Amino acid sequence: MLNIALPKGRLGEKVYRMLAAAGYSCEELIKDTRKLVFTDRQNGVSYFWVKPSDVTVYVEHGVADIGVAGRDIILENSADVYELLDLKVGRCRMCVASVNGFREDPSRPLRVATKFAHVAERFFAERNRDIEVIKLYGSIELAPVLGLSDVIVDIVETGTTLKENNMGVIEEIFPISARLIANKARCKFKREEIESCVARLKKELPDD
Amino acid sequence: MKAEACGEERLYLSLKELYESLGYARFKMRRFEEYSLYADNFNFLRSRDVITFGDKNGRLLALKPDVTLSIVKGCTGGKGLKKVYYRESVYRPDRPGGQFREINQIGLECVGDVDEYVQTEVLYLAAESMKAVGGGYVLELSHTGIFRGIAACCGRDGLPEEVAACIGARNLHDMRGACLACGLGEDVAAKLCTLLGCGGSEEQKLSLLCSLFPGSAECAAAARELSLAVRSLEQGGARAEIDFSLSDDPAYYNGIVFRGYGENFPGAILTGGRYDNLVKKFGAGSGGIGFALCADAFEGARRQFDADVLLLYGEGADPQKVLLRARQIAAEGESVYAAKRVPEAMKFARTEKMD
Repeated sequence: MLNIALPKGRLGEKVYRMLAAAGYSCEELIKDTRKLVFTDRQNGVSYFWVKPSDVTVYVEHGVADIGVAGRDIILENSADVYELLDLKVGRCRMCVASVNGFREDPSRPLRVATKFAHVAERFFAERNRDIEVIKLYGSIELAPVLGLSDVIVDIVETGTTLKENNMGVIEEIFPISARLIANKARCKFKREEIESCVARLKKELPDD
Repeated sequence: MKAEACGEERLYLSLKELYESLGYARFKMRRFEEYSLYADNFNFLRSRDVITFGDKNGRLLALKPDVTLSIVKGCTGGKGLKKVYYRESVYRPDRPGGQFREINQIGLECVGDVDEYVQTEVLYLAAESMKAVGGGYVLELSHTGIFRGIAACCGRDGLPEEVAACIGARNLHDMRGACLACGLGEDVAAKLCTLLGCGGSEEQKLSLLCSLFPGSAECAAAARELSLAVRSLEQGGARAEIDFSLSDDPAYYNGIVFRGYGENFPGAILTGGRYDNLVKKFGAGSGGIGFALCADAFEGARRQFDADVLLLYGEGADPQKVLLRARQIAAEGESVYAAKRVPEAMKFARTEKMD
């Protein structure tokens, strides 16, 4: 039995459809129900929906054997997991952005608003740039518009929200897509099941 | 069954007996050291976060973040080989950027003239320690010489951080990009992907390594050492696997590295390897090898039963007879909980009634 943590939302549903096509369907999962865990014994699979940022936690602690998490979450959480497959969905970019015409003042620390404090700290530390992280949990774009921060570090999908707020990307930090991750210990004891799942999922990946 | 009910203490007693049977002596140490020991040896620490405090004389002290440094320091100037085991607490963040924790470890170290036999013995004891934990286990092995050798083939001292991160996460899909960004070339990326994605027997994995990097003497030496280690472990009935993604800190380790995974635990519960550089730096001999078993892991492992037997005695039962029966059960190797009525929220493998 494979225990799989899926991120709640559109991305999770998209990946579930790939898993179902690969032979890991679970009819109950897509029904409107208050259940938390969905098991299909015939297909040897047990799913649970979790908050996207919690997927790495469930996998790292071995509650889920495998899971689906964005590269942003994996890097932000420094998750000690195997990253077995790029699922080529949920593509976007982690970027530094600010209001158009922004001029950096190098004489003081850069104020960075973000949900991804570790990613921001690592990125600017590599450039030896002193920063002040302003941790926010939503509407990150608002921060430089209202003067709370100089820049933001956030996920950019199409860039429409930035454009509509007179903002633009200054630099791309890394590209993002959904990844199939696995618990390191479970990989030792459920190797065949996990390898088989990876092989079957590979056939369901969208074209580049 | 009784082992389950006693957890860490019983494990320690069985490991103590095992280690002492092969001549290892208990090494006791203080909870703190002078901070300078760690400040001078940051490269040999897993985390640079150390809890410090001053003593009355103004000396800066630190709660031990690591056991091996203290043991090696204690071996300075010694001759021959020192074999010690320990049961100690260390104080460090449980993960990079995480909260400080007191981590209980049981482990052993060999410091001084470490030869092939000593390495074989330590690997045997690591496997036996995993057996003592109970349940299925895998001892995963690799060698720091492999990636040093591959880096040398590319004219470098070590592999870039981004490439090492891909190796550690078995991330084959980002390997090409990471290699190209560091100027390592497509062929190196392809070879690393082939190596990390390989299956088959342990000997097949090592043959593949040598065929992918035929010019590397370091890879060849690492393959020979791993082959010997795996053969010896398998002869002893251990389940050993070579996993090239195990790329533990190359600044700390300089030879064989290993990790133990138990089927009832979510992560590695045993970590170890060869650390000759640290031993040489302290003038404590030519080599060092050891491992630590994270005893805290057993606190997290849920016990199936609170005791093997619930001995239920009636209102008028003779206390002497109840005690005698409880002692009999215990003497037969089962744990026993004697009570007048079934305790709430407790679970037992079986119940025995006494009137």
